[in-house]
Amino acid sequence: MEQQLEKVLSEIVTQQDTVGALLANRQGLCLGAKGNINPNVSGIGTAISEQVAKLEPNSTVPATVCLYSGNKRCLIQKDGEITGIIYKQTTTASTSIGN
Amino acid sequence: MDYVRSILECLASICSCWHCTDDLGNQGIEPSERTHLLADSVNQSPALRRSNSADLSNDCSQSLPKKDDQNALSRLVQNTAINMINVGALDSHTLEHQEYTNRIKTYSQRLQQQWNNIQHPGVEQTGLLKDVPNHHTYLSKVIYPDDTAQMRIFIEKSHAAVLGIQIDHREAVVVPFQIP
Repeated sequence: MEQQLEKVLSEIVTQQDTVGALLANRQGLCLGAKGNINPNVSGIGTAISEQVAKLEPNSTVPATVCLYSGNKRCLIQKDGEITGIIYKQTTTASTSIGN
Repeated sequence: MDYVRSILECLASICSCWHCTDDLGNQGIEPSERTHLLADSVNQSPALRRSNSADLSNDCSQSLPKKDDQNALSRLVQNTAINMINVGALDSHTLEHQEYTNRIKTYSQRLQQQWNNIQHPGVEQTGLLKDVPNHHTYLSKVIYPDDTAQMRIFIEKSHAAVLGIQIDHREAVVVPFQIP
């Protein structure tokens, strides 16, 4: 059924600095999550990505949101029907948003 | 022939009215670009109106059957004259150099005063994060290329994976109701 999706998520969380990964559908429902990430953030992540996409509605490239908090950062990207969220942990600090 | 005569009479009345406006200027009222060339106007003095109506009545007495035509022509000429702007009567041609520079100063001062009174909208802070102090530190955070590349690969693979999701049914999808 969703072995392929599980495999993709497992691959992502094994990469450097990555602590968690999540995939959400168009309604913000969690399709799958791996690592140290709460599946309940799927709705919030989808909402943020939808709001950011309104900044440049004519852009063909999907916007990537990067939230910095402490030594962690959260990447969000919505492309078509799905939204991906990745939690990463480094030694940098403070908060920012990028498009 | 009657038409020619009536036109000539109208021209004569125009000439007389120009004299009237000249008289008006001599009477102390400054002619401006908005001063009507013909005297038959609401803004003109009653004396001028009287003289003009006297002219008209004289014209009418001379050719009573053509009264309507004359009136129409006179109205036409007067309307044209009312709509005209007498550029020659503009004050700027008669201004002394000193007065000219004084006016420039006055207008510049008034413009400056009005400009200072305006609430310039461009002075207010606009844009995102205007209420955040030291927003430069937040905006100057780098976006790691590795992050965007990782996310791009993650999304690409996820698209393929989501398309591969299918129901792996081991029982009959349609279950008949066992209605006795």
